[in-house]
Amino acid sequence: MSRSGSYATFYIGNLFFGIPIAIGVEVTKGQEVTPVPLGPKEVAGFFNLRGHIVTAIDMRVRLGLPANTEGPDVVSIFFQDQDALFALMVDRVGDFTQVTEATFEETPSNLDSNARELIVGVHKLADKLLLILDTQKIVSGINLVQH
Amino acid sequence: MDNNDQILDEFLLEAQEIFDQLDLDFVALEQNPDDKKLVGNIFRAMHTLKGSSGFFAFHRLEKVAHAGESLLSKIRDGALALNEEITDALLGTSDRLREIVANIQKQRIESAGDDTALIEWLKFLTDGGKDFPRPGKDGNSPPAQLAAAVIEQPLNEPIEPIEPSMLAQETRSLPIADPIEVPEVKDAAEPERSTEVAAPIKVSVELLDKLMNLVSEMVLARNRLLSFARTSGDLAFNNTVRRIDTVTLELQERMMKTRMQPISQVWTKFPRLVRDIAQDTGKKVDLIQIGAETELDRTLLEGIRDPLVHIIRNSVDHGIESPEERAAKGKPEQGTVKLRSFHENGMVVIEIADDGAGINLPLVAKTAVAKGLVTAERVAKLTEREIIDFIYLPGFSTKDQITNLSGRGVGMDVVRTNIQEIGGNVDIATSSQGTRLRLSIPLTLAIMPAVFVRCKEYSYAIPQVNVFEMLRYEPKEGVPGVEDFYGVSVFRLRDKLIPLVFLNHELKLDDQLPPVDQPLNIVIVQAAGIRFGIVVDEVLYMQEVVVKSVGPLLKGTPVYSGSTILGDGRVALIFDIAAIAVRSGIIAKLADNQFEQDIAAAIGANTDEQQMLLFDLLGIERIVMPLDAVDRLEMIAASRIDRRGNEAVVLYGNKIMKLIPLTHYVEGATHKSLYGDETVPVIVHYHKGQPIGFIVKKVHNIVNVPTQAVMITQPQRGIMGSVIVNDSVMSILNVQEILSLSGMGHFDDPAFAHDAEDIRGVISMDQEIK
Repeated sequence: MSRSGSYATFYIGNLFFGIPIAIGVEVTKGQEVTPVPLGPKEVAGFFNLRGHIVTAIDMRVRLGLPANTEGPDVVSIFFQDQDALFALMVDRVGDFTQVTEATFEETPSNLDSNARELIVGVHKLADKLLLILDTQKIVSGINLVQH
Repeated sequence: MDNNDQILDEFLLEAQEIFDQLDLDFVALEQNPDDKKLVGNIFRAMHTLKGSSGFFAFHRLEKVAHAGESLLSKIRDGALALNEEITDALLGTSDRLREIVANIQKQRIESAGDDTALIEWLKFLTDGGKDFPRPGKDGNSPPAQLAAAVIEQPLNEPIEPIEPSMLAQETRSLPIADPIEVPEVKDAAEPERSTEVAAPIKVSVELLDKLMNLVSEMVLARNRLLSFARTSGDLAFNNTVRRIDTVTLELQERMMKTRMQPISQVWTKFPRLVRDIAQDTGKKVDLIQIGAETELDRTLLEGIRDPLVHIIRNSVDHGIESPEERAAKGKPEQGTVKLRSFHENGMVVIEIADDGAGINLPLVAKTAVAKGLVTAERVAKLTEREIIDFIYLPGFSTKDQITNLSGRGVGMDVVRTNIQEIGGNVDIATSSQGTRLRLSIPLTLAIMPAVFVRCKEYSYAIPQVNVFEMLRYEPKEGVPGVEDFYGVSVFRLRDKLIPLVFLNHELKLDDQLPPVDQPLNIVIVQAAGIRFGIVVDEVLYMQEVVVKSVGPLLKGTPVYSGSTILGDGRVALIFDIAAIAVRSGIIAKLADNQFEQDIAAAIGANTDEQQMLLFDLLGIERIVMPLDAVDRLEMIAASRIDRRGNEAVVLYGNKIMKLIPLTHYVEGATHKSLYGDETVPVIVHYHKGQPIGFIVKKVHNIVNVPTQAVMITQPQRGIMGSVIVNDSVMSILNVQEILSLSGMGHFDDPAFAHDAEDIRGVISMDQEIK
């Protein structure tokens, strides 16, 4: 994954994340998600995006963060991985951000191990840190068998 | 254009694609001579071509492809290394094949021609020979000095490396040297023929999928529009909406149709294939086809053709024994290959069963050890299934002799690859009594009727093929409700014990089982060979759904077979009933103890046979009804029939017999009025001492129907279900339902009081609750 380029950004708790827009990102709000009993705990459920079934991943669960106590202000960010559509359920969507190699740094080691696995690196922006996520790992790292 | 022509055209198109791919692969192979995968691809392409030509009895094509394939298999196995001569020969083979196919395209039959020289050359190379006297020289071919001269060049200077481009050029010119007889007369028809083949437009599946998705979206938008129209008083607007409604509906139906085709399209050629192979091998084989009308996605049809050809070849060539051998084993001399296709759990299942010798598992194990795939110590510990798995490996064959038909070990490899490519799976069961292959193919985009149920706040779909009936149980004094039977909750349904699964509990949505004194909504389903009840919060409605996949993250959650989009745009999950049965532990518990026997006995699995009368109705054939419900058979002239109100009656002895046209009450039958001079067959049934005549189209004979016969379809109006008797499907008439539908209800009859009790809670399957 390239270290510079444009990123779609979003917040989960206090953390500020970005995924490359090169993979095709779309943002929607207020989707009605059908949960999947017995499914992997990271899978929040399914919803319909223009006739496609989208698998929604609860990013708080995926990153091992506590559940959102403030309410269900969830936003989805879509991307496609091997013919399947996925959505990341996040707290709040930020702007599209352009970054360069200059601000990049490897993942800080003090990050939670669960999250560190998914994070490619960090861009030191003027006011905060932008954590770059590896979308493929978000999907592939989910343990399919839960029971 | 008849069906055969159509299949031939499809073959020609496919062959064209294969050639185009072969050209690309050969070029790539010249650059990477060690690419085993590429060799495998070419090998498979040749094999497919050979298989298809066997199917059409194109013998030249088959022989050339066979020879090419033999050479390629040596290269694939590493026994031979690719050199220039071999590349020459292979390119020559590809060109020759292309030429033969081009002629078939023009003339619709295989033209005569001599391929001996080429085949000899290929055989020579296969046997490890070098520098074969080229075909251009030998007497078979007419003198074509130009071509021969060009070909001889690389021969004379074998050490000099040849540029790939040169090589390609030279070998391309090879076919010029070969005699191809093209009758002059046929040439006139050529342009016309060519356009016929070009006529069908190939549309990619992705495009169709996208269109399908757009249509689904349009249906949703239409639904919203309809709700506006309901509240609007604007006539012009409402008319426009109605128009959009009808157009959308038609669009949707057509869209579905573009993809669905009966499996008979693929099957029609098999009788010939079986006959040909049987003749070649000196065997007697009968092919039985059941369920040829099963529809499946067109793309899937294409995907299953080659695997089916392979499997049938295997069955006839390997499976079925010679007549003498069969006689010695006490089997009938004529072997049987049975093709059966049906829907199960939202999958199309195709079974190919033969009554041959079965797979020789010890031999498979021995071969696996000999090939170094597994150690002798290890193989002893393998299960039957694990041993069967060896035959899926590329190049695995137990046959010492490679025949033209099979034995290369390519078959099962290709079969599994192809079936897995379309998301299906292959299951093999084998014994000395025969082998059964079961291909399960998902309906990726198929439409399927489903029953929607609610559990907590979400609705789920149960494939209708699994549903037997739906009922509401209300606890009453003196009537036993849910009972515990060897650790399984069971429920008595018409004196049968039905194990229950509580959906909320099973899905871990709720820890609590519902209290036993509550009313229960139960959906009785059948899957994995057992019948059980699923307790849901509510039965909602029935609807045709478009099955969509659940995506990669639910691979470990086999409870769902798919998902679908509801009218309001939300997603609902479709259950895999067999997986629920397994998961809930019912099956394990059943297998555990005598419960199974008890249940089996309770479900009515005795070995008795019941005599039934076989008859036809207009539009629906092979219906049976119990012989004890039949009093007499009569032929009644239409002129004798009187009308009394809206009833038809006839004087029968000294009584008045009411006539019931069964076509009115049986789903799927066609109505037709009676004409003056007609005589109709009538089945006389006595109900409460009164004769009642069922008008049918034709009465056949009496058949023995085993009472434990498997119900293969769910009940429909007037029909209890279907059974298979002597390899044909028969529908069982529901006499009680016919009587009550025709106003001769049995509720007032004390003899039926017990049945009436149960039926009160039953929602009939055709009643759609919107």
